[in-house]
Amino acid sequence: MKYIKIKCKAINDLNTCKYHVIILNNKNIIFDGYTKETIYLNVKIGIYNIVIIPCNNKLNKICSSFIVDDNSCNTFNFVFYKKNPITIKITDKNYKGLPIEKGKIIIWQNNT
Amino acid sequence: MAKQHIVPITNGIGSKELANGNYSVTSSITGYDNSTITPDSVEISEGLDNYEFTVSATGTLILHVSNDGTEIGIPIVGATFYRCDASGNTYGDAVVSDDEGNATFNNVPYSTEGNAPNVYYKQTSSDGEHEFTSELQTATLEEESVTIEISNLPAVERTINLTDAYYSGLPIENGEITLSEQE
Repeated sequence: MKYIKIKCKAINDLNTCKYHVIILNNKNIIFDGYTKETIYLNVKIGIYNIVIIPCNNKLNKICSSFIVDDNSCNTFNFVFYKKNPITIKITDKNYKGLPIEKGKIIIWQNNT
Repeated sequence: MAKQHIVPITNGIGSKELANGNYSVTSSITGYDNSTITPDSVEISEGLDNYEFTVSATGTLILHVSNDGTEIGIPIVGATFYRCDASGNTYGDAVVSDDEGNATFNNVPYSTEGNAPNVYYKQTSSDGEHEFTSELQTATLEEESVTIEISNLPAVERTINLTDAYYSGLPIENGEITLSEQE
């Protein structure tokens, strides 16, 4: 068993919010609850999946996993970014201002 | 692993909640060359909510203007057309019919897969001697180059009566009336 801390922090949102945290081990839910920042747990060595849903809906959701073993840190930090509502306008390059009637823009977040 | 966000576009506009950061951009727009999306990367930053992109197409729409709307009709030279949106607003420069009666829109969207987007256009003038409709027209290009026959019928002869304003029905014996087409 190992005593760990799960910390949630929003880096560009001054408003504090609750986070809904679900932690699974081998598809079994070992934790399902809410926190404003830190959850303290005593867990077995193993691989855990975690889903964190900010309750204010302005921050990104996180689905991730972490490993708890003898060498791992006790603290697992999960960082949230405030989502900006943006508007995208797409027009025809050769007919200035002509809106594209229908389509999709696909945006990929770079890892950098 | 890069996370993908899909932004549906309707009439040139889409919206999405995105975290600040650097993103790569691709498009999926039927009829257009999606490799031309510009810019292909964007930095989403705090306080900046509007982002603009352009994309281009490679199809050709030829409007062949003649006095009877056939391939062998007498070509109408100098007829002008504009690309439009679905509401009839005009975009880009006018295209003008040449000596063969062809007014050519380059870089219009097409698709050979049966789902070509609408291309809207309207005629704004003829050669001064032929009638035309200024109503919004729609075409779909199922091939890279499409020709549409446009009919500009000869103007019909009109009778103009000119009488004295103070003596009802008294014809003016000699003179001229000049009619100038309004812009």
